[in-house]
Amino acid sequence: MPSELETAMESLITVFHRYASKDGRSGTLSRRELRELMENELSNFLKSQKDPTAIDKIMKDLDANGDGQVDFEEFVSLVVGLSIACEQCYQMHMKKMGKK
Amino acid sequence: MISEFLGQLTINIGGHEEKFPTVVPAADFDPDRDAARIETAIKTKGVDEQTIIDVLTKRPYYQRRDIAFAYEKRAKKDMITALKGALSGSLETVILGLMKSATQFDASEIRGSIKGLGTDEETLIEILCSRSNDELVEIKKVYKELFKKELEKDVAGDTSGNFAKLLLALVQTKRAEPSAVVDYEKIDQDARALYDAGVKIKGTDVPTWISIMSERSVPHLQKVFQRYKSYSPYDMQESVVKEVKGDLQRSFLVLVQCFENKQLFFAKRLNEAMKSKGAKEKIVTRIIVSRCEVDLKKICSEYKANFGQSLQQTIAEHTKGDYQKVLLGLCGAEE
Repeated sequence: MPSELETAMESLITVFHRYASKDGRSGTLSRRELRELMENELSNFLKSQKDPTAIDKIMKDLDANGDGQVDFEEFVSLVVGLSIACEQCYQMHMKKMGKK
Repeated sequence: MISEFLGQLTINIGGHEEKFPTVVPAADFDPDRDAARIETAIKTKGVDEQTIIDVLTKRPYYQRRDIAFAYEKRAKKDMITALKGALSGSLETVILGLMKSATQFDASEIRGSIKGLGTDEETLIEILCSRSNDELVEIKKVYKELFKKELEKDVAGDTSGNFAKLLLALVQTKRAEPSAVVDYEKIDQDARALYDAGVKIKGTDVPTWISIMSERSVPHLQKVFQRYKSYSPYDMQESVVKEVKGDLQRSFLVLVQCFENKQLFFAKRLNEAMKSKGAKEKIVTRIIVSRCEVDLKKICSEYKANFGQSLQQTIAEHTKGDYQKVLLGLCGAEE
């Protein structure tokens, strides 16, 4: 029985590959595949961005070596960054719950 | 739950400061060939300054270092010493500046402004208030290596009052890193605190201004100054002029101008320096040398947009001779 954490890691990998294999090179996300992934898997996050060019900025930022492809390592840095920010929200949320 | 949290986050990308250098690595770089050209130029009767300018203004610092290394191997002499002997005046100053790393250059300029009798506050302010946290960290290190003194001690020894406190706060490099998440509540708090400490009261609570402006990240402060306008009838720069005077005012102004648009700050300073009587060469030299590998290109575009004339044109009108050639060499062609 995989642990909860193992399952989470597996999801990261399978979600990445599901979108990465859609066109062209199957181990990396092209800009279009990345956009699709974010629109489907991170729609709540995208909706709250006031800057309409946010996706492009994020893509440019993730593609660290500038080759137009985002590999798993580059992709996972986005997930980590968002997780850290969410964890900060989670802490504040727990504090509020504790105060009731 | 996570969806909710994600819905509350706003991305703050742009933490990586993009570079807009005018001096970029030479493609087919051959340090030996360049060293030979410089050796010949120095030995030529009357010194061939043009070749020296052509080579050194079209190579970034790390390539210049390689050339110096190759020069020493072939000529059995130190290139910098040879250049000192062959050149003179403003050209010599620029070339020697180019042979220092950005950090060494800044450290030397700071040292020059405090050593000896009196203090060149303008230079001290220009450098300490415009360099980023990371740059200041490096400057402190190199300053100690070069001069065997602590930058903080030297700055404290040469300045006083709130002016000293502000400079020291900057030198302590406590500025926060830009974070991915925008903290709207804190932005509002800081904006209100700046207003309450300044325009709102009689007199000014300078320590509050100092701590906010020296400890918050730059993207955060940019938003704070925006929010500030909803509390204060004067924007941040106007408030600085109203609330404080002298060197303290100059320092806060430079800080705020650099947070808002650093390249415009340098463009204005260049314009002022060139058009003033007794064209302040030292300032022009320092800005061009220290920014040519950082953002001189952007400074040029801000300059043109603001003054209607290109920086290159102004340099051509207000400087002459080899000094002009070397500056134009570093600025590159007009876009």
